[in-house]
Amino acid sequence: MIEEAIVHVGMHKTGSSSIQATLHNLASEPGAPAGYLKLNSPNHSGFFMTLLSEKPEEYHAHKLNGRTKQEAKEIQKRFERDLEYALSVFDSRVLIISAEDLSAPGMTENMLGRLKNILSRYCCSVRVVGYVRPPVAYMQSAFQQRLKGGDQYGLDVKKLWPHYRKRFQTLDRVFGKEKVDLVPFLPGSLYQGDVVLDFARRAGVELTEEDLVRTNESISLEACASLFAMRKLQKAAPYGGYTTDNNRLVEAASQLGSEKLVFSQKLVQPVLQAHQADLNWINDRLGQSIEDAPRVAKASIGTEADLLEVAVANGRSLWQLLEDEAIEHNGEPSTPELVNRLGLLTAQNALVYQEQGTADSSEVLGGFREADPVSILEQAAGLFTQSEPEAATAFRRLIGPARAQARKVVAGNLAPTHPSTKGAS
Amino acid sequence: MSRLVIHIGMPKTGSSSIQDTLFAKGRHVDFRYADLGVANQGGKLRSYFSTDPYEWPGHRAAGRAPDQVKAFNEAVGREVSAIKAQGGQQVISGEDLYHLGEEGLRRLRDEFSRAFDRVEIIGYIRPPASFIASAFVQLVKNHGQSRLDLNKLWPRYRAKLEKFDQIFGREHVTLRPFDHKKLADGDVVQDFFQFLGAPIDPTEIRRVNESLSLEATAALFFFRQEGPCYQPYPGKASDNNRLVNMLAGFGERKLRFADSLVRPILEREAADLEWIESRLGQPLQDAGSTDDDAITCEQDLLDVAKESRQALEVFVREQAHTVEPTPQQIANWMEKLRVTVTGRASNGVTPAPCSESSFFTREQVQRLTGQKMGPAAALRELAVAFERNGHREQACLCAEAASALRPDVAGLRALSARLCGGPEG
Repeated sequence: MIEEAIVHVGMHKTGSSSIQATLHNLASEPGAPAGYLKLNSPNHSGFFMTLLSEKPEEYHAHKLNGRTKQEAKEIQKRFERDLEYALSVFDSRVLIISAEDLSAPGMTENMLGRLKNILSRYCCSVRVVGYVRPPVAYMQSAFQQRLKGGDQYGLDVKKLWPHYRKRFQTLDRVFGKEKVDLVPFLPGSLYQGDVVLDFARRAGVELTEEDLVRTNESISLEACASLFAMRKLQKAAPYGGYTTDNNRLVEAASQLGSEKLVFSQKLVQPVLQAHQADLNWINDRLGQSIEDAPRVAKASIGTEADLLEVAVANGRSLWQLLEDEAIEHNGEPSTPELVNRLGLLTAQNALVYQEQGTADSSEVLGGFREADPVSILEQAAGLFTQSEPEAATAFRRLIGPARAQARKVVAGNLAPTHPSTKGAS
Repeated sequence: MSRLVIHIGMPKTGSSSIQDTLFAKGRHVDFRYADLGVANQGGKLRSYFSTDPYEWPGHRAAGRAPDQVKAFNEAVGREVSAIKAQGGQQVISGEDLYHLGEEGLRRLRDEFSRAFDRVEIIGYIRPPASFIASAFVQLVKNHGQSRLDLNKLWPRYRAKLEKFDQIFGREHVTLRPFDHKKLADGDVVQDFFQFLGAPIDPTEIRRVNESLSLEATAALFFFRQEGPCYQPYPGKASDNNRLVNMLAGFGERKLRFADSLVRPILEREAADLEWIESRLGQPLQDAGSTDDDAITCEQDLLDVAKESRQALEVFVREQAHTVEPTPQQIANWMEKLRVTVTGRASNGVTPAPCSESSFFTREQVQRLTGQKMGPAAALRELAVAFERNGHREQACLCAEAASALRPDVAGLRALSARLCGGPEG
């Protein structure tokens, strides 16, 4: 039996990716005092959110990647088997899990209870470790994160509040307050001022400098602003592979700019006031204040218009990046590509790429019980009006002749073979 | 006596300059430019009076749904009523009226004859070879022309103009050759204003230079063939105009079609040419170019585009420095960045030329729009297109419908059997 399971629960924006990448990359030696659970990804969030949820299809990653309810359920079943197997063969004294989504405000006691039950079958005890970030720094970082993920379409800071109590009180209730260590994400509160070293120390993992993996996930104000313009003004639709493609876009956009995103005092003050009780709760729980120190910035963001202004002011750098990336990926631009670029320089409306064979006919023609020529031509004329106007006009023109032809057939008076139907196959 | 003068173009005879001058002046001698809120009134009137409002391509380009087209026409109806109520001496101008069908033209006449004592038509007639060259550029600019097929560019003088004589009476239809030697002051705008009763001060003339260089036309033609296809949207036509206007600053050579390319068409259409010459009472024939750099085939145009690629690259870079982007443009550029680094847009679409995005193949559209296409053959094409696009059930319905119309055609029975899985009968 495993002596102890240590579950790192974030919170979000507290260096979780660096912790996960560092621990995931450590060589796992049989019988080592502590080991990181090896699942499908260094970050166990997606795995456990899928596994523990009653509606796995509603997990944001599944939605963005266009997975159906059935597909999400199948993934859940597979993950159940994978976890049982991973736990059954685990051979260290301390098991480490890291999933910042486990401290998301939406986590229910049922979900966390299921996790506790699974772990308790293999582990003598379960301990939870979470880092707590000051509210404004958290909101700024969470806004960036949501922009990067593709699910942020407006600057609504009320929705960015960390909801400390909802995050951590459920963990306290399920695992017992004495089993939940909450640590302020402040340099003075962390071992050597570093969250990775701090967590490793708490988990009993010895790290050398070479073991440390730093993942800098923050992006500049300029990159945020450009992404914001895109998320706000460009339609997206879920499809398989969305996350992978989106990550590549974010990686490319992260080359833009160097300023830091800082929310204006005017923007955050009302939110802080509205959530004073929540702030008091976490301060009491930690036994110290978690409030932010004032931050100095060249320009602070107070509105969506401020962000769009930054994006526009940075337009030339974005265009240069576009040209550079195009050369790297496609080489010298062709003539059609150059004309397309002129179109991008001049278009004032949202440009949405046309899908091949977009006319989704199934709904329209699926309703027919009989192959009625006139009805089909009428529907086809309407169906293709926008996507295939020339064809639509032809179908419309032929409705009358089709009606006349149908009458002849009913009367048993077939027309001589028409030249354009000869040799049809 | 109230009087309405309707200027019908023809297309490519300086209509935009006439319209912009009229629109800016508002009045000339006793005439008032009818108030339809736009300089070029042809589109609105064609939509309103045509038996098929979708005949006007403006609706397709704007992606208007049927209820939006209905609302559009209702608004035009109110403007037409106001024009009639105003009475007096008014002018209407729109070269789209040149394409209005006979029934639509009767409706137009009946509508305005009730309000005006006299309704007159004036049109300028361009010689065929120069019309073909100009029309080709126009189609590339505004209608996505991506093939060099001059056969469809013949102006069809009799088919387009005889109906005006028949419906309005020849004595009310003035046709003048678009020949600088014969126009007042060698200028179509001056000629038109003198037709209204008095010359116009040359400083009041608004020139609309719609010409595009050979290099720009070739680049745009290549783009129409291979550039990415965007979904229709309101404002697409305006965006296209902005692109074309920017391209107007590129290149300096003039597009000329070789006589070898034009002559066979002139010979084939000799009867039509004879009709218009007889109607005008003077010769109209011109010829293609015998210069060495005249365009003889599609490949010549593509070669010009390729030869001027480097110059276009420099031009695009220069234009990029002049553009002050809007937030929407930033969003479009970010979308382009996404496509560049991932190959896919935010809706999962892999950008492709419009021809590849089509539900029907180019050959199918050609067949569907051909004069000999009958309803059964059109349904056959629909069946084949549905099958190719993976809608087997709909393909079967269409094939059955085709066979029901023409049970005597074995090819259709075979197609139906193949798609529906039954016996050939």
